[in-house]
Amino acid sequence: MREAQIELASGESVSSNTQDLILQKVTSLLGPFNREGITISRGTEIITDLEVDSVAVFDLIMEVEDGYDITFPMETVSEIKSVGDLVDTIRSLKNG
Amino acid sequence: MSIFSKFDPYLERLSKALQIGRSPVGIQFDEILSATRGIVDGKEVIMVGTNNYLGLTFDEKCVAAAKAAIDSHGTGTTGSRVANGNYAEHAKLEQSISKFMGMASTIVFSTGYQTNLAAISALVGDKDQVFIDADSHACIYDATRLSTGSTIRFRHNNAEDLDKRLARTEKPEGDRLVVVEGMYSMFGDLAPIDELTEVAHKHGAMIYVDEAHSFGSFGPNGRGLSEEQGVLDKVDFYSATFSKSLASIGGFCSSKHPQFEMLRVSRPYMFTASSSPSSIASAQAALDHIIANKGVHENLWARSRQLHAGLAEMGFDLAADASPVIAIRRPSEEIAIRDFNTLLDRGVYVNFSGPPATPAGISLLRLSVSAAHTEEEIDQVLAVFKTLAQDNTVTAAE
Repeated sequence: MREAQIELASGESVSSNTQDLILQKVTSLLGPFNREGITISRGTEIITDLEVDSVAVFDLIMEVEDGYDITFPMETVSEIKSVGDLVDTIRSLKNG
Repeated sequence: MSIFSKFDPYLERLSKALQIGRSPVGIQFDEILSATRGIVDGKEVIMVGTNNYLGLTFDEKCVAAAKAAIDSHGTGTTGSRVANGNYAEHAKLEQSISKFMGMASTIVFSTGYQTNLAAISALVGDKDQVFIDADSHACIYDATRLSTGSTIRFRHNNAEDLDKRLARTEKPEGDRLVVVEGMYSMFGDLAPIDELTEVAHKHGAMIYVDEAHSFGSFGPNGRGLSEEQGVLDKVDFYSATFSKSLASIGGFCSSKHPQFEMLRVSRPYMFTASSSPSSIASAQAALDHIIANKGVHENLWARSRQLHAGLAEMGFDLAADASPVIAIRRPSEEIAIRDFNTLLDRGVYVNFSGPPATPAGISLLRLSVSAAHTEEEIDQVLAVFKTLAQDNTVTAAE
């Protein structure tokens, strides 16, 4: 399958396939927190659209940490507003 | 829009609560009659939500010591420990606690909240990492925000999960601290401090145990859950409050590391007034009482087991095994607030607890037992809960 290149805000480009895979997995991890069953996209706001509180966000982050074997310090979580932000952070942490 | 609009969700929640009855977070006691009885709205209630675990608030010696301290030292210190607010009694209490706990150093702070805020934020510096239990008290979360290190959360009371997260971040540039509690305040469940300590030390991390709710009420000598699990000598930092078993206000942190004395430079120690002479004197008298009476928590445990067994028999959904904190899960915040009001109308005061104080958005009726409760009082409390259980059965059947 041919992969398209996506330009990130940082100016980097990554394969859309990698991004899609992370988005797919994040969507699955968000399942238990998505009580209204809304359609998840990169633009979905985690707190406002999914109506989860700050404690639930930290619980979600634990799931992400275990899903990707990464560490997500709490002080970095406030920067993550949307699903797209989460996907980009995971990709960045995975790439070290 | 105004600077206050951020409080709109809270006001909406409060408004809903007030439609059900009294606000459970705004109850006023018009009189306190004893360690277990008070007056609310002109009616005498049995208090089963005070954290007064050893029932010492009206202890003759504690009261006399507080009164004598006011007579001899005045009502307040009007200054910080690093200025004019450092009295011989503060230092004496620190020495007494160090001796009792078998620790090298103790620092007394003005509240329990400030104790954790000061110690944790000062210990965790740049490049350090602090690992906290997911169900930690707000003061531990706030301490991590005040620190300049990195904070990692691990699953509640789960040594295996802590092990995994410590391993995942092996060989950091700085040092590592693991922070746990003894008995958790909301559910009354107990930390496996022995396992958590072993895991922390295996990875070269130090362990900090907050025993705010378990100091005085656990362990053969009342030295907490760390003592009961046989690991007190392995704990690096141990904190507790004066406002529960010691029936005063203030807090302390002890350490087996003499360098802990350096934490007197922490901001919450330096930039606030020291504990009042009467608070220090009553805390000292309460500590002396614990030291002199080895079985001080026997009745506390007998009454806790009595209450827990009675509630379990009625079919209430209890969050943990018997301990001095007994939490009943309710299906919704609305039902919990309604039950809270019903209990108060029938002469029993308990705590309502809900998010963000509780984990996973759960609403609770939270009971805390006191050594001052009599068997008859717990029977009376259970009789009132029986009427609540009957109401619930009727409601469910309708």
